[in-house]
Amino acid sequence: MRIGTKWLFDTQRDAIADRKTRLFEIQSRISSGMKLERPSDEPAEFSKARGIEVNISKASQDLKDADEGITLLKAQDSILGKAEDVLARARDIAMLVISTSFDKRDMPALKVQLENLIDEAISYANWKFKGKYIFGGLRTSAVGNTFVKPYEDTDVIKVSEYLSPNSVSDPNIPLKNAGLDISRGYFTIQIFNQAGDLVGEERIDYDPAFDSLQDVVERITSLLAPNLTASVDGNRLKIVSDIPGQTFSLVGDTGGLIRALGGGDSEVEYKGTEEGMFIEVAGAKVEVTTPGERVFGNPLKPGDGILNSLYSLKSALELEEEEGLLDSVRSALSAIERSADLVAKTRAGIGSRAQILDGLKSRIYEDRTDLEINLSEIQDLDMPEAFVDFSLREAVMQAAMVSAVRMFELSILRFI
Amino acid sequence: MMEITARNIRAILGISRHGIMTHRAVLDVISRNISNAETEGYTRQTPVLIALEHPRLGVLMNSIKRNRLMILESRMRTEIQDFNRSEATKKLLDRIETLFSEKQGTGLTDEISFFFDSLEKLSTDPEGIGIRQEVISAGQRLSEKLKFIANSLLNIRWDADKDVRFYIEKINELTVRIAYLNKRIAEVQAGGGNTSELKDKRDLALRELSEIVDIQSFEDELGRVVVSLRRGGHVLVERDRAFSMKAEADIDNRLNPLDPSSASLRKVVYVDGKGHEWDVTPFIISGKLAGALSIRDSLIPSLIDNLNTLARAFVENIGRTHSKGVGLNHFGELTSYQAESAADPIEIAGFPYSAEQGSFKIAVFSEDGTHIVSFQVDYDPSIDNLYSIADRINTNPENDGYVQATITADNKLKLEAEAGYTFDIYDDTGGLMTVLGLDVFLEGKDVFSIRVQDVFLEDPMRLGAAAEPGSSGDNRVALELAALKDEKVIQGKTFLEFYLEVQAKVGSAVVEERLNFEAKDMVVRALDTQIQEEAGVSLDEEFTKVIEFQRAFEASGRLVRVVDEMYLTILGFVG
Repeated sequence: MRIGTKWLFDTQRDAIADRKTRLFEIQSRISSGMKLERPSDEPAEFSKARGIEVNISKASQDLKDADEGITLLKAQDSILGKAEDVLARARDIAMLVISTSFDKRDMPALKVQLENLIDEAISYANWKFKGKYIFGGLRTSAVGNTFVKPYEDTDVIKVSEYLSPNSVSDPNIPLKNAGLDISRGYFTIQIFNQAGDLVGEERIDYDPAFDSLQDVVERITSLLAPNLTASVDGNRLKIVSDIPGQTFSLVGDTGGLIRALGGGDSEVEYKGTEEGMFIEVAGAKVEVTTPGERVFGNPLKPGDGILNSLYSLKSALELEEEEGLLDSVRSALSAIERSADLVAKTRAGIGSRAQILDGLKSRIYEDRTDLEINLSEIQDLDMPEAFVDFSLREAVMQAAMVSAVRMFELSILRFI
Repeated sequence: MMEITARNIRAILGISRHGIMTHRAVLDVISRNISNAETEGYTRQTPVLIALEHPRLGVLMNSIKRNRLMILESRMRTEIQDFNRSEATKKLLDRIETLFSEKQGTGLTDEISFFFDSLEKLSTDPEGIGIRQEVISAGQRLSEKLKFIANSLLNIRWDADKDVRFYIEKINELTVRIAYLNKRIAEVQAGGGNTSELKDKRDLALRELSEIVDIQSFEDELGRVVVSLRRGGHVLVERDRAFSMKAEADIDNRLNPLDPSSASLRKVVYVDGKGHEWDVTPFIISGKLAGALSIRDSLIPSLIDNLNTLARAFVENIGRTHSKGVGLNHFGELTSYQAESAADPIEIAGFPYSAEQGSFKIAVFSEDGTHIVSFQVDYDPSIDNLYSIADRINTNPENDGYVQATITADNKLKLEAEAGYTFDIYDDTGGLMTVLGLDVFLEGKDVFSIRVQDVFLEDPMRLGAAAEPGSSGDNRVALELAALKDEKVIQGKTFLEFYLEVQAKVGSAVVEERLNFEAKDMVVRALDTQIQEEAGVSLDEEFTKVIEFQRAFEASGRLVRVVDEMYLTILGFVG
């Protein structure tokens, strides 16, 4: 084979450059610790690695979500534990009343005690954790007048006469200027006959920018006469049923007028949603809030619940000397027992959901570890192998350079 | 026995003279070889000596042989075309691959993952302002990344187009040079001169031309080459005449394939001797020019198309789900995309997406966020136009003037809340809001225009995480949004699966081209070795020849002295 001088130099130069490129490739991988740096390193494996990275990120997010859910559930469990104590103390009051040794002179003190227990139970039902109501279902914080807190007394329920506790500064100027911070909205007046059946209802619209209390009064009277008469009494709203035995309710206030005027009854109403909040962890949907209605009940609706049973005891104690006190208290006691069962069941449910989340956490940890191992196998460089490879390529390059120089030195020019 | 005559002695002198002249000429050729040992394209020359026949005696340099095997050179030109196509393609592909490499958490997969993770976070705390801000930021990053990749692809496409223009200029320069060299070779050859160097220069130009475009050539009886495009047969050089090519704007091939108003790219036009023009772009299948054309016209448009599909899937699917939700803060005003005609049914009014029959709800809120009223608007995109939708909103008995819908002069649907009120759109069942671009979070008709809507940048609390108004902890729509991550929304694939497939497509193209390049490199190197084996100059060999012919030259000179001495000897006999 003839070897031309230029060809000799060119091929040696190319060979050294090629060795250097290969050396740089392995050096670059060693410095990054990765064997896959670009899609072309191994297209299918590179994409698989990216997919695994995304799954690892999702698993990490799932773990945070599960922790968040567990914290929320634990907070509910803790509050329901306190509510159980309230029920136990209410049960003690009921037991005392039906016991043979009960002294009726203690009744006022027991009523106060029960009132305090009701307030305590309401405060638990309206408990906030990290700034959010935990028993409002999907309603976790105030939204205008649409929702203020899970349990509050805003509606006026089945009364024959209503005089608002709060007054306006002037009944003849727009409500907004008369000291009420409310929005445009409406409420509904429902009319019930003596048997308690709904016999009619009317929607009363108001716009605080234009309407005065007097305007609202006139609107009610014009729509509901001759059943009801509305008037302004000492700058307060007064509504009176004009038919004996007939009652009425003021419900569904959207702009906050009735709330601003002070509501009416003494019983709170559940304002949260029926649905709880679900989170999704690793494909499993877990409910992490408990709608208060399920455990505290809704005093304005029949059914069990902490507040329902406490209010039934309160109603029973109101009977005092009247006939049926003992039966009513016994009935309230059994409602308290059912509520205690409900709380226990609810706490068990919460505990089981927390366990589900704990179980999911363990599974996600394991999955994430497997994914990390998998990712490492796909994209991480085997360092010992890489160093051996590097040393080999280094030796080859040195050999190429030495041999090239020796080749270049061999020239007839050195001998003539 | 031969007689010693003056004539005989003179003959010896003649032989010596021929020897001296021939060996000097040989040394001249060797010197040329030595001085051109490093010259690119130079072909080693070998003097061809012949013994003179009676009556002239001695040696003569009959010709100079050019040590280049033309069959190998011709094969080299063919191989070098493919090699250079592969090299040009590989260089552009390497740039494209960088865009799809995922280094240090900055790739599109990271942005997709970050976006859906942020939506999942939102589902655990739908009222958290920090988390909502994170969703907005993730949406912006995702949109910007998509746009960045698409725009970078356009830049590479533009550079490939510049390469096309440069290569065409280079082709014209080379064909002119080859035509000139053809002329010179014919002239020198006719005069009996040495055309070796001229042929070297022409071979070099032919090789350069082969690097750019696929050509074929043959030599005529006068040593001139005829060069033409391998496919199509368009003649580039004939005798001493070169035909030109030009890069002409192609209105059917725009820089941005999604934007008919963007700059035109160039097509390759051949101009024949009569001035007729032929679009030869489809005939260019090899050489650097073909490499640039294939990346410019095939791979990049296909990748942009893929990214566009991905971006539109994001806008459409996120939009359809988001428009089911209600935010915690609401809108005073919203304006739709522009319709070509507000009077045409929505499905033919030129909107970028399509919807089916359905309904949406509008919730009205007071200043403090109190939910006042909600009302439903039904629609059928095959019948309804913007006017009928506006009319249906305005005349809804529950609306009571809270929300006023109008059609703007530029054919947009504009919704405005009465002073002191805000509104929100939710529970859209047929995707009309996505078509109109109202309350959809991400907007845009393609990968270049995808973006987070301004109304959400202004106030992240407007993000619709809830299914119903009035519940701050309602995360039902946020859950649906987060669940889109695993939905098979594009051609039976998830967002991520679709993108990873695009990424793998780029990776595979690079691998394929790399293997192609390496294979062609080996072939070209092997051929070059074979050519250089013949054509390359070896300094050792040449210096050996220098000594050899120097000695021959000295011998011829010594022979003159011997003849001189012979003359003196004979004259001494006389004297």
